[in-house]
Amino acid sequence: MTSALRELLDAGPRTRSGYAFAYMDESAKREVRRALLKGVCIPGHLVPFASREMPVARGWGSGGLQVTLATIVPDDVLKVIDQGDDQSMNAVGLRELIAATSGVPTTTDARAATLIQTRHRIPQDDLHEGQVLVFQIPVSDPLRRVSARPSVTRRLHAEGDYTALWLYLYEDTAQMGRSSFTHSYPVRVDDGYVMTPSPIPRYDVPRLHQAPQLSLFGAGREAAVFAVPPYTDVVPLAFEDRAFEPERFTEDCWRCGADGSYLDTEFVNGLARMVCSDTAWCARRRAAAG
Amino acid sequence: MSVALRVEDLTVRYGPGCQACAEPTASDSAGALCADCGSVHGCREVGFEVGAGEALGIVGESGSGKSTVLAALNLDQPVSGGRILLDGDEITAAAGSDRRRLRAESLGIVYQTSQQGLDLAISAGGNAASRLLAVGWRSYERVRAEALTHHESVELAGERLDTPVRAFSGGMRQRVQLAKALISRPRLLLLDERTSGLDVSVQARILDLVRRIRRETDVALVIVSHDLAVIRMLAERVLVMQAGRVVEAGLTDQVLGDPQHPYSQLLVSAQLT
Amino acid sequence: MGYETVRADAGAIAAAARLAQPARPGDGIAPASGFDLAGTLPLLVDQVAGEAGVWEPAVCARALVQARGDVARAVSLVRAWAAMLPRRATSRSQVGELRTLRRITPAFREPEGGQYLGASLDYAQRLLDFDDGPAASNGAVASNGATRADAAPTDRAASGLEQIPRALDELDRDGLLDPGPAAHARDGTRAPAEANRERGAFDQLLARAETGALTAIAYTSIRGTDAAATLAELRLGELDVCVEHPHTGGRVRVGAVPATIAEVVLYGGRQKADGRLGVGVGATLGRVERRAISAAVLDANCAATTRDPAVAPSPSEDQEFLRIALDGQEATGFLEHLKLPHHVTFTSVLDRIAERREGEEEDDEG
Repeated sequence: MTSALRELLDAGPRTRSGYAFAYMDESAKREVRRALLKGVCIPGHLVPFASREMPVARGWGSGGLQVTLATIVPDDVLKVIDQGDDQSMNAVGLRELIAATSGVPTTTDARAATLIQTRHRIPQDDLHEGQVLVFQIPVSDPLRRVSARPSVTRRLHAEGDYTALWLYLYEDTAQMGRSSFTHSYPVRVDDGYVMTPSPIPRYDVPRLHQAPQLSLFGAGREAAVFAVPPYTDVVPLAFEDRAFEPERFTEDCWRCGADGSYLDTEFVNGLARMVCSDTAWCARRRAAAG
Repeated sequence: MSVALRVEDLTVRYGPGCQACAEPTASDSAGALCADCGSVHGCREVGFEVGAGEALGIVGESGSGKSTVLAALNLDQPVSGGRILLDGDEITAAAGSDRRRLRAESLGIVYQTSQQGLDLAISAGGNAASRLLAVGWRSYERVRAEALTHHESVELAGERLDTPVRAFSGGMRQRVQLAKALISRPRLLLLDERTSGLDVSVQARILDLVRRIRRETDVALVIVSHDLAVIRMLAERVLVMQAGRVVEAGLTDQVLGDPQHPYSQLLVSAQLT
Repeated sequence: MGYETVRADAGAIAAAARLAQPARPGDGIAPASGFDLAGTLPLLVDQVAGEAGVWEPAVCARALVQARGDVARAVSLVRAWAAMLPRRATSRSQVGELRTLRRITPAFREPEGGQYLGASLDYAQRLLDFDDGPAASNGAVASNGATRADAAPTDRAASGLEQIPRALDELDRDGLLDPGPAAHARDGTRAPAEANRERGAFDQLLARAETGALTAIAYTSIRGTDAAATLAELRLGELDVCVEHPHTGGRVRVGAVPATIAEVVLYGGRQKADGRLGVGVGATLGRVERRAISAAVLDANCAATTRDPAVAPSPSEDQEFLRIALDGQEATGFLEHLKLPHHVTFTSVLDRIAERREGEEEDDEG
């Protein structure tokens, strides 16, 4: 790791001079917290905030990072994943930065973590009340494909005008028999705003509905946050007579045998194998099987 | 017969306005441009009624204000003065989601060019369906069925329901606009008939279509045209507009058969030659 | 090829970083020290400072070394460092207070106060010099102003003249200028985007914009579209940094920053028909002049009054577009984020494609 991080780690749980607890200074944290509070009060609504420059580049999780750093407390236990994997480079870097600047212990076990920052997946374990799930968001607005202009999409959200999205669904269904939306499937939150659930696969979208954890979404580059409080309705946009279709896998996990988890392709000895995307969950299952 | 549309003193002004051009007794011969303040009146103190199932024609040369009136009726154009009432409810200053709902449900319009009224990249069915989707229809089958019904009612082939509109000819695009306008069973249909570049026979068939629609529904129709023959065919009553004002109004047969106002006389005689 | 997540064990990140480190002493290659950099490549350091919006050449130089010369990364380092520093005070200066080291007025032959070529490479031949002796004599060498430039006969080298009146003041007095919407000075980095739609915040964005993006879009604007842009004035000098004395309340100078300020006038195009010239102002910390000039062109374009709403604005006139395109940190970060693993989302995409093909095959068979 870089010398700066090494310095911070060597200093022990409390950080060296120059950095506040969890890196961000108090005014920066206040800015994010205020935005998050507003987001929790208006589920699914995009709340702009003054996104600070972070030690990770824009587009590399600076928003999720700001949300985590503004939210984390010394009693938290942290888990960070990318593509479901604790050991992905991006996850490792973020976890080390957060841990080094906050002194908070880390874990790979989603059941034991109190705060989980994630990119592109929801952990395979069912989460419980009291947990906070922080999503890294690249494109914050589900209406981006309708217009690149925030001035246009802001008005559409304000008027609840999602006609364009429904028209995409209609055209897709008429031309192909199914929606062409892949990941980042637009969802209606609390029967109000339509939001993007982040680039999680469709498989993970139903798991947001009435979920017991608090879900926070941070977009650093686009300078917006949004939130879904626990036990909130999150419903994918779909015609009432057309089923919402998650991804299908025809195989079980080659490593742990699970059927019904979200799978990745891995090459083992030259052969393509389908294995659990959530590496920690998979490893635990294998360990339990002996 | 109930009054579907009532328009009172409709005025659209571009510019600040002043004492001189606000004067209601300004003579008919005054142009639309105010010499004092430079304001232009798109239309001035226009008033009329259209009953359910009735059709009103608006004629006049370019710049007469007929397009402005149509745009104001469709809530495309902000209004400087006067009122528009649909079934007794004032819609003049509708904004936001109210305006969207009115335009998606109660009002239907066929624009002069298809690009204004249609998304060319979307299918014919999709264009019509968007109005239903805009007001909360959520059953794909019902939306599609409704789109197909109206698609076929304007004599388009069912197999072309999913074809992108850009592949359609001009006459077919006008039909798509009609289907789109009618799918919400609007109270008021606005028809800008000045579709240039269309074959005369194609045009005639579309007008037949409109006549049939009038027989089958009680939609109120306001139709703008250059062509007095079209007005005679479709509209029981007519307004003649000049420089933003209504200069003559009445039954089509009377106004076109025996025009009183000098400008009406000019219009009628010009078309006869 | 499979979609292997780039995974890290304890040593992988460290190993990657070690590989990326500059050579150590003893390898026969002298290390570049941050402080040499500011003297040898001052304009590069200025570019980092300008894009970071932070004047601290030693830190900018250090960032360039740590980033191995990658300007975008260096700007990231500097901005991240500055973001967590406390904001002690705000200093306000007027353009007229710039202590001018260089001033040119392409729009006017002999403006009040005169023109000063100053230290500039503008008229130097662009011939690569392979002579490693003392500074070559075929042109002026840019420096901190300590070296005098060889000047054209009609210009004089400046040595820090103060208070030169603004070249456009006379046209302004004659009512020929249309400055456009007012700009209010404020720090947009501490406010959410909603509050930053007015001109002052936009100008700040321009002042910290990515140099290449600024140049590219301003270029597309001036290469022959409707409005003709003329550079009225370009000033380069030092702006005092002043704070309020805690006891006396008086203005106390605590330092100075080098800045470049440009004013551009626009004629024609979508301008008002009332015959006034549109005005744009651009500025940057440091001495990379094309940053200020491009910013002024874009500010003028966006401020131009009477735009026909039916006609879509070109990129150089479209503030909303520019807000997206000009932030180098957002642009480079998001572009480079494509290197992050995307196999989960890609699996989702492949799933849709597979289903569609299955659907088409069924249709074919059915």
